[in-house]
Amino acid sequence: MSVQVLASGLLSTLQDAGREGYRALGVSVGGAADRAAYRLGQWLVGHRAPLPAALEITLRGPILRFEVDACIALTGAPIEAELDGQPAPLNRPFALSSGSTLRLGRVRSGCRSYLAVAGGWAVDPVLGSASTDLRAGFGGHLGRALHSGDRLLISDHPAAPPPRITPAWHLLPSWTPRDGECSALRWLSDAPADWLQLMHRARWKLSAESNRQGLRLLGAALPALPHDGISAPVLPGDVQLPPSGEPLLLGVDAQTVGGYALAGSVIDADLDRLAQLPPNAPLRLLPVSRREALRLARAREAELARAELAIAARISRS
Amino acid sequence: MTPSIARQGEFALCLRWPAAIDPATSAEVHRAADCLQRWALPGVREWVPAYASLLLVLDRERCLAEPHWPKQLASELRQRLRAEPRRAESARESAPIEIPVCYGGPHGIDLEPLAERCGLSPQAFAQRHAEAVYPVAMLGFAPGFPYLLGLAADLQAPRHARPRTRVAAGSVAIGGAQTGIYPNAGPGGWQLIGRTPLRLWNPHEVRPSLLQASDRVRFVAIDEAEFDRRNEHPP
Repeated sequence: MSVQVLASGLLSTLQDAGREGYRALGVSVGGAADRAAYRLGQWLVGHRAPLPAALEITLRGPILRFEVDACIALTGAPIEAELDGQPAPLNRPFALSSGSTLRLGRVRSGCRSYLAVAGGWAVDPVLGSASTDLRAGFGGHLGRALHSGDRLLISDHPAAPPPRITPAWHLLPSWTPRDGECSALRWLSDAPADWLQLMHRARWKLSAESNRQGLRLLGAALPALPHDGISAPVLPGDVQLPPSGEPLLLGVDAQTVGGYALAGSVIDADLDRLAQLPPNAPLRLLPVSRREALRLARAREAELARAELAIAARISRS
Repeated sequence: MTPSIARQGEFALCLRWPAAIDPATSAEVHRAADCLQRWALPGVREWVPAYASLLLVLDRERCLAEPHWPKQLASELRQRLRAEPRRAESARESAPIEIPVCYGGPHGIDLEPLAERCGLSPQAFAQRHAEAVYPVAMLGFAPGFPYLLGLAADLQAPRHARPRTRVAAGSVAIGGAQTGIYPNAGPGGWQLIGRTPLRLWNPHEVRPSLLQASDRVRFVAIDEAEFDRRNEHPP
């Protein structure tokens, strides 16, 4: 039941919800950088928790030849997609037959798209997860990104039967930066007020040197924050201030401890936005209260829960 | 010593002790981690020790449903930690884990220049390194990578200005005031003084990491023949 990788795309890796419970061993949780897009895609192809792996696609996608019938869905950043030369739909499940070629091109906005397949991409879990730990080289597909010539397998995770016709409905697209707009990332910080004034006035650009481990912000060099210089545990979303004065936003693959000053953290509700910022994206940090952060996180979870039910109901009617 | 407790993001608490990289502070951190293990507080998912801090990762759903709970938990932790009886150091110490090391030669290419810098023969340097028992303060930087405390002052050496692109898995190294072992092959800027045949990290094992925080390590010198016999590293 396999899929041939004719072209790998820029950085295509298998990711699920990550591996919790091993931080004290130096293992990052990792997993899909845009968690909502990943989950939505899985629900579209009929999966329920625990969700299997999706293929996370970065900026430019792969070309895949399916040697089996399959039902797939594309979520996250809107991406150029063709199935045997015809435009392929986004944000809804669709069936393809054995011998089809799915050609994924560039994302039109944002950064990362997710390809879910009914049944799930077959992966031997490592430390309880199908996610790829790129730095340590384990998990996912041979602990690395796809290369052309690779083969992926589809497994038998229980999923809904493929739709007979592509449904007319589709999900609302994931958040991606709007053209010409400076994206706001909401964050929590206890840094000194005068330092925060500088931080919040600053307009940043995302460095092309950003990746799943961290997003480097280019712009003003902020003054140093008081710091004891001793490595301490860090989490994705944490905002570090290296000696250069340009902030570093930690990503899902960030190391578990860090030695730089900790300025604050991006709110949970905006973590998926970190995954959708392409190189050179303009952005700024916007302070919110912890109460507001929790309210936004709850609202987002509720929205996703509603989406899961709505999708399940519509799929069963297809 | 009771730590300060602060939120880190929406779903974590960080306990911080007065900043220091030393065995006494590290022991405090591990003592608190042991308490958490014993107390098995519902809603505390995992904890991550560092030199002078301990991060508690909390249950996300509970934090969302009960916004006041993390603050209540912090108060409870303060009370419980204050009430903890002080234990004698020796009550806690476990037998050191022996790590065989082939010092110098092709396995430790920086040993000779480093020893010369310190005014010691390579053999004497290796002997000094193997004399101490090193507490593992924490794992981090990479899976299974131990941060070891207690490197003698006269063996310390700065990191290379330019890191090497490939350091062999199991390399025993010195970086600044610390000594450590690279679990995986990869880039590394520390001074390489030897190599252990033991595999420190294997994610496919039930116990994926040979070492964990609060373990103590003793290095035992072996020769190249013994290294080859005991070599666990994949080719």
